[in-house]
Amino acid sequence: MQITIKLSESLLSIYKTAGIDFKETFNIMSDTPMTIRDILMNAEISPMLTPMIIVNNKSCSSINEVIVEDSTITLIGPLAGG
Amino acid sequence: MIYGYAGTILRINLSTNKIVKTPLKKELVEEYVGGRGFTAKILYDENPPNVHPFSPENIFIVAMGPLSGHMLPSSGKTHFATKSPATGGYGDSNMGGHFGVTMKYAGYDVMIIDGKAEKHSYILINDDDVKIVDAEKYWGRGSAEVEEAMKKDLGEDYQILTIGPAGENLVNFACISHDFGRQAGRIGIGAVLGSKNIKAIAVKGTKGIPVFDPELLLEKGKKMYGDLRKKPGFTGWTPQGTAGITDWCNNVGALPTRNFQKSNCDYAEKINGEAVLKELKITDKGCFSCPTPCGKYGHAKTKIGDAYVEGPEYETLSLLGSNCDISNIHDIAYLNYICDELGLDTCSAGVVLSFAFECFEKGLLTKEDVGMEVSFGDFESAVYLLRQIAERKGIGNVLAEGVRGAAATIGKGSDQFAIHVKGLEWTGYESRNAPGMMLGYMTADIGAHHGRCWVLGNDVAGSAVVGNVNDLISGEQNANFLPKAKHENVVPIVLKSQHIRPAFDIIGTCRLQFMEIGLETSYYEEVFYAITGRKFSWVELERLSEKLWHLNRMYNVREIEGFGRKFDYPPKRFYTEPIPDGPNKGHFIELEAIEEMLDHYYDGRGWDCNGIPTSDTLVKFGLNL
Repeated sequence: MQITIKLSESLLSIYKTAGIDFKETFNIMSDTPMTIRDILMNAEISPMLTPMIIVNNKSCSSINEVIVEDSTITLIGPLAGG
Repeated sequence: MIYGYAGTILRINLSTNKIVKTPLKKELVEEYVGGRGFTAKILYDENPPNVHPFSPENIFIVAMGPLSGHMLPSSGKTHFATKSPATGGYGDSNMGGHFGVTMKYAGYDVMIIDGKAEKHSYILINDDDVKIVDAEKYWGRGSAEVEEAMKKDLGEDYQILTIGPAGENLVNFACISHDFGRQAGRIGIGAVLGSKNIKAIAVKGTKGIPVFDPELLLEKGKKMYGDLRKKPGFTGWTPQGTAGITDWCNNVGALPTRNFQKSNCDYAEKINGEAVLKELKITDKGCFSCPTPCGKYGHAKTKIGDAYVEGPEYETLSLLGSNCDISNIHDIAYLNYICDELGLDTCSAGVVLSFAFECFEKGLLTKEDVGMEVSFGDFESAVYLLRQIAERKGIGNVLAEGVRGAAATIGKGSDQFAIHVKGLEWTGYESRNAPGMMLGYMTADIGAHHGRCWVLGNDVAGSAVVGNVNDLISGEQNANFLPKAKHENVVPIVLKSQHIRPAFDIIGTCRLQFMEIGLETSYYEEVFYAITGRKFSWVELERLSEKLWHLNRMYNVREIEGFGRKFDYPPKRFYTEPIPDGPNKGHFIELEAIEEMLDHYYDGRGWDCNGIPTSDTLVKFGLNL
């Protein structure tokens, strides 16, 4: 399955400041189901920096949620409150 | 004609009833652009030195930017400034909604109010017609109640600012309200209007704003909207708005709890963004031209009553919620409503309440002092105290001075846990293991405010990116334990954030589309040119934003006796008390580290070791002060 990962600006800029350049959008492939946690680890993105995760346009409630088919995962980084 | 601007400064002297309109000068526009640029320059030049914030001579300024009022995302921001009742120095507020845009459509880029009206009054602006009108029938009433009444009396075309009883009674953290849920908060700006006997300002505007290249603006504005929608952050941000950050702050030990005694709570899921959606929200609510409405308008139901309220946003959730140990989302929303109606800044109100609760807990305040027993977690205590504060009754008269003033009156060591910088209460981010965030709060010109600098993500990344995440995470996104963050290299990140975040207050747009969703700076450069005909790069805008740091610092030097390094220290709690539990257990930032950060910061700013801009720095930025 193909998993498309999209990173928000707040996440991209934090990594950029730490010297790590991610692309805004990239894909990973997997033959087997993966948890969101596994996907993040595979992409070397810390779950601690992804307060909001959207899977196929729906809020994800747990990083142990299992992805079983082609999906788009949007990672929103930490952002200031109001 | 100056493209992008209405072209006029409106001056209102309430003592003499004199209304004067002067052309907006090209020199001011070229050097200071608009919004926060205008307010900083005008306040420094025109406010009488050493004026008291509640003196009639203290001027109240409203200013818009060149991008305000045009068809591009979120161009409805209004900027206010005055001498701050909270700090005694430079104070400003930035507000969304529709007021400033309408003022620009009425023909005014800047409004400067001084003097004091003889009676309770409001200011009525209908294009060229400007009047001071009797407001006795509105005085003493709540902010939204008055706005609704005025819209009925004047018509729906009017955009209205109001103050509540807190502003009328000169509470140090009184705010201005607008559009049933937007506020110009922090620094006590509502109290300055109250000191002038002004209950409200109503404006109706029907004119246009000259644009250099309307077709280019239409093209670029449409592109901004279209490209914004394609950004990954666009869909993620809107549903929960800022409340969506609550869980994360709790998980990384940044959620203020019980007057910043602790850094996380065990009921975050009851007061987070999901809770706002499930329990409260009726609809999204946005500002002028905004495609990413962050406002959540909802219905709160409590044992003492129901309320319709916009909010709570994250700051209110944290400071009136976990910081007061109140764990019921409806109760927090109701407290938000009370603050809005009374005209109290919810951030400062939350910190003042938690300070009072801790004083009571420690026996520094008694039932006789307060009028009833109050405690953390008690919703009715909070309602009672907020009303007392707004009316300046009993203990409310002490607490209305803010935590710095209240601690000075109460004494008995209460300054240890008075959580403020320069007299302005801290906002919703526990920072004892976030040195960048700590430094940002310490050095903000208006006092402790995250609006000037937000680098908490970078602070956490110092642990998450450099460290091995598998060592830090188990189960969900909770961190078992975060290592101590390093303070040595935070200055460049803090300076950058301090230049970028307030830059939007100059041009007159919301920063959310750039900061959180990722609209590139080139869009702003393009629409700036289309509107004004001036090529003004983002680098130049950041340079101007940096210049204002020096100007506002010099205002504070002039106005606050003995101003310097000691005014940049964080609350004592933060450098003497380790966090007792949670992922940041044991952490705090030692005084030695605080001093090192300040030294590096002042160096980075071109200030001397006391935090005063050097003459070389002032010359470099064209500041002949």
